[in-house]
Amino acid sequence: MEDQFNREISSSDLNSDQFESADFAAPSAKLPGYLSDQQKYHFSEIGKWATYSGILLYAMTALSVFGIYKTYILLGNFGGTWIIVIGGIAVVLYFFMAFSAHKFGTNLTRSSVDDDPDRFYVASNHLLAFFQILGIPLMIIVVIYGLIICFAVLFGGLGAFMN
Amino acid sequence: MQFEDHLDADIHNNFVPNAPFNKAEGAKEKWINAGWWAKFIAISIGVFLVLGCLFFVNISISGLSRFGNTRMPIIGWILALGLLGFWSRELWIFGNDVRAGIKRNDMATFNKGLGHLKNYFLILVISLVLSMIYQFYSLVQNPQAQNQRLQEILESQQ
Repeated sequence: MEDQFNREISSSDLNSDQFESADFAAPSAKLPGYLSDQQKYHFSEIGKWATYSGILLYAMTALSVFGIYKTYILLGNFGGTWIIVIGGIAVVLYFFMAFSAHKFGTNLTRSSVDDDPDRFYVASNHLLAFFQILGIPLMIIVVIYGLIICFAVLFGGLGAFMN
Repeated sequence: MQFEDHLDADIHNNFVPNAPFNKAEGAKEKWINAGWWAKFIAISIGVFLVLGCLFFVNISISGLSRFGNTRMPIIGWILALGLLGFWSRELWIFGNDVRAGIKRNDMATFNKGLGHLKNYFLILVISLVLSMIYQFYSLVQNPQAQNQRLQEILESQQ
């Protein structure tokens, strides 16, 4: 029933010629905005929390730089360079996650306040980027983990290749 | 009921057909992809939760979690794993609902997914605040004690 209803008044129907008759006023002119009230509420809430996340991630980036520097001083020649390399990658990821979350949050909030679909599109791009920045490193880690487990099952661990 | 009556009734209830994609059609693809990534992240976190539980139990027993004097109490591990579990749950439901909602043109399901996205960001904020408190606590703690513990670990490994 609901599907049928959605089909009946889909946007393509609203724009079709059959409704441009004299006895049917252009419906798009009557539409209150591009979002329903529930979506406006969700967008403003998501936008608010995503913006907070972005700001906190920026702070975490700064804190991580400080932490890495401190660990590097502590470790010195005992793996300090590795800490810089791995920590540097983590800091770059943190920064871009912060950037995407912040941009997503601000654009989504503005899109609901201003009824602006263009900002919604920009926010969608940043949401996708945010999940990709989180997902691609996870994918790499999962593959490495899988390989280690395969080596462990097939050859008794990576240690088998060290002699 | 005639089509006009349906439309008038729902305009009155502030119903927007196919919202919010009726004016941003290109965004559909982005949300579907974001949903896929969200589901992938949820599965990965789920796998790491199981491995993490085993790992944390192991290092808690062996005492390695007491690195320096920045030891994280067992309640910390439980909190961290619990938050990761909620992350995973919210991301999975968000990905499912958003993808299903857009594909079936069912905005009620899409809206449910939005609710879970809000929960995800809320949990992210809580996790970040706790993580920052812990990191800050670790950084400002007595550096001599940390140094001493590190030296002990390095010497024991040599």
